[in-house]
Amino acid sequence: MAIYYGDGSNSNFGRILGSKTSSYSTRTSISGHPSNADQDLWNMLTYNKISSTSTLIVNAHIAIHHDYSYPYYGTFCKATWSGGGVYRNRRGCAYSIGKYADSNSVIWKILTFFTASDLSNQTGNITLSASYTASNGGSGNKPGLQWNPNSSDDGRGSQNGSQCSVFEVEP
Amino acid sequence: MAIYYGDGSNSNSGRVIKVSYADSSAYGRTSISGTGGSGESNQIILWTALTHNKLSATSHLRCQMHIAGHSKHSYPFYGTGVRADYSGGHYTTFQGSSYSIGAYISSGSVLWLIDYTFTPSNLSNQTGNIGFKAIYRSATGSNDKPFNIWNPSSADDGRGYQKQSVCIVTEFVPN
Repeated sequence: MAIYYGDGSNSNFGRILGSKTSSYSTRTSISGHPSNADQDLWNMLTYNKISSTSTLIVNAHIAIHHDYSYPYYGTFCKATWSGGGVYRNRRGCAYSIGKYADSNSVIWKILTFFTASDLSNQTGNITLSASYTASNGGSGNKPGLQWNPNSSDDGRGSQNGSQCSVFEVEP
Repeated sequence: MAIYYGDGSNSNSGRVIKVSYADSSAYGRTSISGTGGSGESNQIILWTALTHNKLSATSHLRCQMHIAGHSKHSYPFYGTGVRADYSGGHYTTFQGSSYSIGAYISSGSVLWLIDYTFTPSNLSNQTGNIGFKAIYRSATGSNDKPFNIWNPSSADDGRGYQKQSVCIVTEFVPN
């Protein structure tokens, strides 16, 4: 039975059931994807989903150095779960390379959501990854060369990192 | 009457009370129009993203959009914004909205990001349906737009997939 609050909301819907954040800040060379296969840049986090009817909202900021593939609309946010379940989410997932110079910065932003249906109404562990592949069967594409740049990439800089947050909401 | 929790929070403030979200799957790859003239009367509504049924007169609405574009057009162009429509009025802001064209080449990707929090006074303390739109307008009346193609696909780069844009609105009651 729900608790009904004075502002019109209630304890069953429109609320955050849980959240998790992760970060990674080691400078890492980025691999190109294989032919007809995904390349997972970052297994961002595994979230233990409580409700079969909830939605996961994902925000991520991924710091990259040095342009490579451009334009390239092959990035996505991937959810995987036990039993081989997978959903490749291509909405709200793109990067900007900035100036077209080799030694530039690249920002990959993810703002997306996974509905209950996207996740086959699963509960339990859902692993979220920042991934990329190509639709034409090619290989070797990638959003940049170095993930999480540091002073090796520009002597004035500090170690950059990437961050992900997920919120489970009951719509 | 509020419920007071052991961690110092309570059921009346400092919490999220509703989240709405939508993608642009109804639109697909789209060629977009330039502004035909100046001012609000000639502004272009790129995307009527979603309607959020606002519960509280005192809550804030954080609107985030991730809009995927292809092929530069106007640059720099500081005429993009977000509009909230409520019963009897609307509020448009150019704060918290900008895009990056990336490489200065015609066939590049363009990323437009919006992150703006509407206060109760922005929305005349309204509750009920609030519609959110991504808009752009020109102060000079020139043919301006942030990009040529919205939601690019493999038609724009053979390696790619159909991209979609996302809008998320989070209603929260601040402390």
